[in-house]
Amino acid sequence: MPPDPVVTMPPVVAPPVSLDGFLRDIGTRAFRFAEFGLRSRDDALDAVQDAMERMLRYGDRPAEEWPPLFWRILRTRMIDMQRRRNFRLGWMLGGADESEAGIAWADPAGDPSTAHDHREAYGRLARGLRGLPARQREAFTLRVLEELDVATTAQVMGCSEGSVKTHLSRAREALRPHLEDWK
Amino acid sequence: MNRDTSLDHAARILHAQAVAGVPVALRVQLHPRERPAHGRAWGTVLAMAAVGGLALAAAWQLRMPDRAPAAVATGMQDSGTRAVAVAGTDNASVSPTAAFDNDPEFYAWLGSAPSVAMVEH
Repeated sequence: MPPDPVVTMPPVVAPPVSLDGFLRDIGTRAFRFAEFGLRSRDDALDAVQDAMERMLRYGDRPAEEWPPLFWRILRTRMIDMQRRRNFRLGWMLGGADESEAGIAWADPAGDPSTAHDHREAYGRLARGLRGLPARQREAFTLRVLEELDVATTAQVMGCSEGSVKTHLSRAREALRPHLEDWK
Repeated sequence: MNRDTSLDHAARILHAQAVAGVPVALRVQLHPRERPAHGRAWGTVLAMAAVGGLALAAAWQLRMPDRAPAAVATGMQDSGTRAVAVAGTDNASVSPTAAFDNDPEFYAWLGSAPSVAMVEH
């Protein structure tokens, strides 16, 4: 399936002038990031809300520090939630919903067929990302989808830049079969 | 490198569609969670009050069994037996049979002729 020519990449936006504006702009992207890792709509929403609340404490920091700080807070919160869930409920629930139906989706395209194609294609990407080790998924999501530079990605992940490149290379190789139709 | 660029471009397009496809019901919830300090304080006070109430109720329940022997003893006193008069004293921990244990006249009556006759007949 070829890429939809109507869809354009998000434009490069100016740095946010307020923390509220920053949180408003990053909310949906953060939700998708959390949804990849937590595999649950409700847990992803909780993680983003909690990260935003904690982010309010750093409103006096320079605006250029907000993105890496926010992604680091959200990542830490997600790891904490995953540990708690695995410890308390993992054996009872038998794992969370990993199906494509677990993805929150309301396609803005009016054509139902186009909406279905978008959702199906994103489902393939989501399944590929969810099948990756956490570090590879984080490297690909932050570096490619969120377009952070290598140094910032390393700062968010708490590792070296070389580790980011290694994880990213392995993630690309693992995801390539899932995106063959889109290349 | 071109393979990576192409892969990244495809992934970004899909991701852009997914970000645009977040339902409105979720978008409106994507803001800092509201946790008013006063609400938390009142919640703590109410929780402590509830725990205190439960502790008082438990203590009251624990006192109830101590009253049962006294009630029995009081009933026996109403029947006119002399022995229970001892149990009706201030010492609430005395067992109901303690009066019989400490009453020599009761044992003297057990050994008397009328008592033996009652047992034999």
